Amino acid sequence: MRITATRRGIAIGGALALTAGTLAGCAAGGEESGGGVEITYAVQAFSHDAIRPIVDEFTAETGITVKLESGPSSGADLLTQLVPAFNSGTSPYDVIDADDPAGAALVAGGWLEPLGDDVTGAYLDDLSEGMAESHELWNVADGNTYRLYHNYELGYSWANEQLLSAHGLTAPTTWDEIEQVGEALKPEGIYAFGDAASKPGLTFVYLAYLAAQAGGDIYAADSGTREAFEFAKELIDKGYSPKDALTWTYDQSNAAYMSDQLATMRQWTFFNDVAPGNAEWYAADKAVIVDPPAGPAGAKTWAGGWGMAVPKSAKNKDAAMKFVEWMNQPEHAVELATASSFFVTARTSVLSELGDDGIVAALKHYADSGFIVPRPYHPQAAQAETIVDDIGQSYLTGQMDIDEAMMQLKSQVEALG
Amino acid sequence: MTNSTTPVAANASSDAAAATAASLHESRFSVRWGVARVLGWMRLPKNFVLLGLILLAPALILRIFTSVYPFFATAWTSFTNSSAYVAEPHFVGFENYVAIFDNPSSRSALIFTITFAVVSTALELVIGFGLALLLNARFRLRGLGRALVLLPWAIPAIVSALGFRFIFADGSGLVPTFLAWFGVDIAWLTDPFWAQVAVILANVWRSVPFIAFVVLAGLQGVPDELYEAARVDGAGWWRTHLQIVLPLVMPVLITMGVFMVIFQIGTFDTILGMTGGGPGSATQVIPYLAYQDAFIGLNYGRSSALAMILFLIVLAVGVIALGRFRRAEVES
Repeated sequence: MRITATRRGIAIGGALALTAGTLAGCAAGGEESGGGVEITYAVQAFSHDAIRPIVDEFTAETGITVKLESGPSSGADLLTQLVPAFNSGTSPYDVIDADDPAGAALVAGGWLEPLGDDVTGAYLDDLSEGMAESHELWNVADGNTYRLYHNYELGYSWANEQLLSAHGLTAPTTWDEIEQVGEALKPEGIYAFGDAASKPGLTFVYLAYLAAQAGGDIYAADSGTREAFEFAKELIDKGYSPKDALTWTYDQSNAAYMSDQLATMRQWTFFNDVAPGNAEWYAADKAVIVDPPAGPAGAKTWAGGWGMAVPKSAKNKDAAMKFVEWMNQPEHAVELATASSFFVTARTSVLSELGDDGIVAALKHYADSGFIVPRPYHPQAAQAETIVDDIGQSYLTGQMDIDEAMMQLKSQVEALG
Repeated sequence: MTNSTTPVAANASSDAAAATAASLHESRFSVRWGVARVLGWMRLPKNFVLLGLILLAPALILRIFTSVYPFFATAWTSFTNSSAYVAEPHFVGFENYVAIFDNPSSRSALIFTITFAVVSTALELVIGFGLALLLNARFRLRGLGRALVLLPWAIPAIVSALGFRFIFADGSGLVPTFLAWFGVDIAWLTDPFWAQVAVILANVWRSVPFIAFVVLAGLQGVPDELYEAARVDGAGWWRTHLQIVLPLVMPVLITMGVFMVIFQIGTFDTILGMTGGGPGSATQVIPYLAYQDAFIGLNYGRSSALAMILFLIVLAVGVIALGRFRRAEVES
């Protein structure tokens, strides 16, 4: 068989291949199914089953079908996945779920559609005071709202009251008391306080928590921040807090707490489910949510959250807006919070309907007591938090002194612009 | 079926064969050899060249899209302020490079990247050579022994790194607990120096089997007659291995050394799994820093600049090593 290849043959073959490819691409890009509008909402997979019935209510009311897709479990993953698509003017999702740093990045990049007053009205009227402050800081830019919180997470103070009372102690309520408890428990090999603070990310979480209690602005490396850093180091140096917590993940800090190595710890909401799961260890008085310890600026903890937003390049923007509006009506916010802890917020409706028991009761107490402050804001939060991680760990492990740490923190954050 | 290659070969053979024959006198891949080949191709019939290009096209296109384009895209991005926070990145010259060298964390990462690669490789070569000698000896269940030694290499790096995170964990880890019996108290993962030692040891543990097996292959190529001759001449075990075996496997050791230095300059997963670059930035290496900048800090411009710096380091090591090899080859 003689093989001949001509330029014309190659050109025709190439054109056919391109046409076939283009047609195949078009076939996969349909927007609608079943005759009605379909939108895609990317939200973390673990919440799908819980919120599906509520989403179905929306479909029954509006005729808009909602496809739930597994959204990334971190804001950084979300940006890695979506920024290239947004850059090319497309979006695989009509509604996305973003955490605070990712939301700020998307706003700065100009990739989110402003949400109109009709979408935000009922939501804004329903915010508690602390949550309104977080919303204003993280979700609003140039007078436009870009994201609505459906999740509001904060670090709670957990105390093993059984262990403390066995040593004639009570949960520490101030920084000084942490040191006193630490001194009393040190001979027993028990730490007064612990928080997982490994890199990446967790060192920032811990130091921002202490900075809130010291009244510091962590990105300004001010006197409050300095006090917070110094207190964290003092706890380690005096043996009141484990140094190896600088390498711990949250699973490790939970394990240390549940093996009675820690008398108290700062931990997110999920420990409320983890603790009873350890049936051998658990007792109600071993995992009690107490007030955060008060530093120089009082008892504080910071909160952040995940929220819904509509990309500028979403295919069905009107339907997406309708969905965000519907999901954020107070009555639906309560339904969602009942269905999944990922949809618990400090909204007035949620706190008044569900605030009598469980984790929402603790949230209500923290909100009513004014313990909650917003997550430290920076327009380039992801980068700024990485800087705090690096410098915080360097200081806490003795690689730099406090003056150099504060100088480096200030200059590196300033360099971000 | 007609034999289409015969006339083609006949037409081309006189000149091309002459060029090829001439090139045989040149060392392979020399400039004159390459020119001769190209001149040979140019005298082939057009259809033949076209067919050749068509057959090459899939591989070429794949290479362009997976290597050439990403390389130039990364190089370009390193000169822009591209990040998740910037909708329309623009050219910023060497700003990213200056920022990297201005930052103490980046500078220490650069130093530790080289330290990590060089120290790891040195330890791997010494231990790997020793292990290869053991595996080359005759003993019962040698096959099983060889299989067991290879196990660490078969474990994904991220899995072994996470394992070592717990093995070295201060207070509860296997290593600190064991050393505590002898009164040795080391904070492996929270002390900057010992954290560096720990990640190097974990890396060495994983890579030694690979070196050992390659060296073992070299040892098996040493003829038995040489051992016998050495024995007849009265050389002991130590002298035989130092003066006969080692020089014979030296080319393998040098090749592996260069390969492992280049390979380990790009180490990322061990650091990610074990320390996240901490404590502080003590175990930070350039690849991890590039990852952190791109996927945590979302600063694509700076991350690309770090990737380019890494490329230049690998290129420098590669060029120096190849130059040395060539000289050694010529000398031999």
